[in-house]
Amino acid sequence: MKKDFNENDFLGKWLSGDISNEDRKTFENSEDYTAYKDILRGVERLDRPVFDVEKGLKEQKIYNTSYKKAKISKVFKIRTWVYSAAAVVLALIALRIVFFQDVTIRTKMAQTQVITLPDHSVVTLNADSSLEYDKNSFLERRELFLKGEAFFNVHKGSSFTVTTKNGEITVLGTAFDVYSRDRTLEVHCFEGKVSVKNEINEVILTPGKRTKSNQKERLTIFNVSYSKPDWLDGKSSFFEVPLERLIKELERQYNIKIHTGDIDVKRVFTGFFRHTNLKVALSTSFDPMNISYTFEGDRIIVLKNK
Amino acid sequence: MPKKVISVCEEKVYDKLYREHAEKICYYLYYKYGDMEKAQDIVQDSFAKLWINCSKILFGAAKSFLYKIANNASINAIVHQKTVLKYQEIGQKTYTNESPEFQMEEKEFMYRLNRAISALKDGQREVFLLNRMENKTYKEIAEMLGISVKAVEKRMHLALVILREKIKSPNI
Repeated sequence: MKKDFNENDFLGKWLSGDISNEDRKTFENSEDYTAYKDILRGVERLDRPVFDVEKGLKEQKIYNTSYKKAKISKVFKIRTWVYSAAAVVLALIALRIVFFQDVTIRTKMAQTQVITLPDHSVVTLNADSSLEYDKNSFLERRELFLKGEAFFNVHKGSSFTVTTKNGEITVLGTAFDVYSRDRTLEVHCFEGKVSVKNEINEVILTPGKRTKSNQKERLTIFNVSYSKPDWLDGKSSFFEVPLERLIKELERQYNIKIHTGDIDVKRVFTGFFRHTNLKVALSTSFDPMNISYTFEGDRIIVLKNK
Repeated sequence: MPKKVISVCEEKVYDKLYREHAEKICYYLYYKYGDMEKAQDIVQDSFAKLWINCSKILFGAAKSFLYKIANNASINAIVHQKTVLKYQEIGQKTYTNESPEFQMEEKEFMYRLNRAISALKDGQREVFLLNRMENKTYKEIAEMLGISVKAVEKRMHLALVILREKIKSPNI
């Protein structure tokens, strides 16, 4: 069979000797042949750079030891490139939010969160609480609104005000804990001086003092013996509080639901529970009160008088 | 029947793989992209990846792993840098019974050949140079690149045709 020189694989077949003798002779007499032969001869004169295998292997060993680190930074580089556009968009959205809205931080049940404010004050938010402030004006006017409980470690500076629906706390750089739930306001001062004001009166707390009010009553001052709130260490303590407050705190810390049934929730409780083990917490809370508890599913607990 | 498993993590095995394949992969990449430094970098990366993943890769699969990594890496690399290719020329012939004009023509021809090779498509160049410089058979090349022998033949044909055209009129 005669091969056409112009077929798209003819030269390929010619080079590998995959054509008949007849075809080859015809081709080798053509003008094309000389041109191609020149090229092939030229290619033969080309040289390739040297690859030193042993040297390469040695360098490879060194490279391998540092490879993991390099790889991580490479990935990072690629990411920054790839996502830079997205980051710009996000930043713009974020800016909008920052400029036009207050910052609100909320914690869910069984969750605490540490927040650093723009002035470097640190707030630890206890479970099921929220904190709100205006990021724009915060540095000029340190004001925030709190629902629930939080521990404040305030960076020294101008006055720092925590507003709650049960009263207002003003300080100048100090550490204190605010509890404001339902009608109860409790403020513990651990460092510096704290001023607490509600609709009726105002008190000044010094370290080791706490104040408490229920249902818009007068603020009175008590002594505290601990240096920071227990809940920061994963523990909730109570001193002469109604049982319902203990129950609500259990619900918050463990994200459970407790049905009180015919229990008298106004009974007074003193004690504590830890945030690590629900069964132990229930036992330390209710056994001394002579109350039995049963699980109905994972998250629902029913109480009964023993 | 317990079969002895060869682990790539063993230094001896790893060294053997390197001695066997590093050079070949390097030239393969060099022919494809015409940049020796880049080729060496990719080889180094490929073998580093082999080392890191040595426990997951069977000895028998190491070769294809290396080629795969090298291929993937080079796709990324080529985006960064489309190099001007430079194929080294063998040193001047020592015998000079040729006329100066002929030598000039020769020099000019080699220059044009170099430029023409640079201008080939990556796929054509790698096939052409693997065959001409490394004396690889079409079958070997086809296996290496994961294409058919027929495709290799076509690329060889096209490479030669294009080289000829470019040398004739190097400005195309």
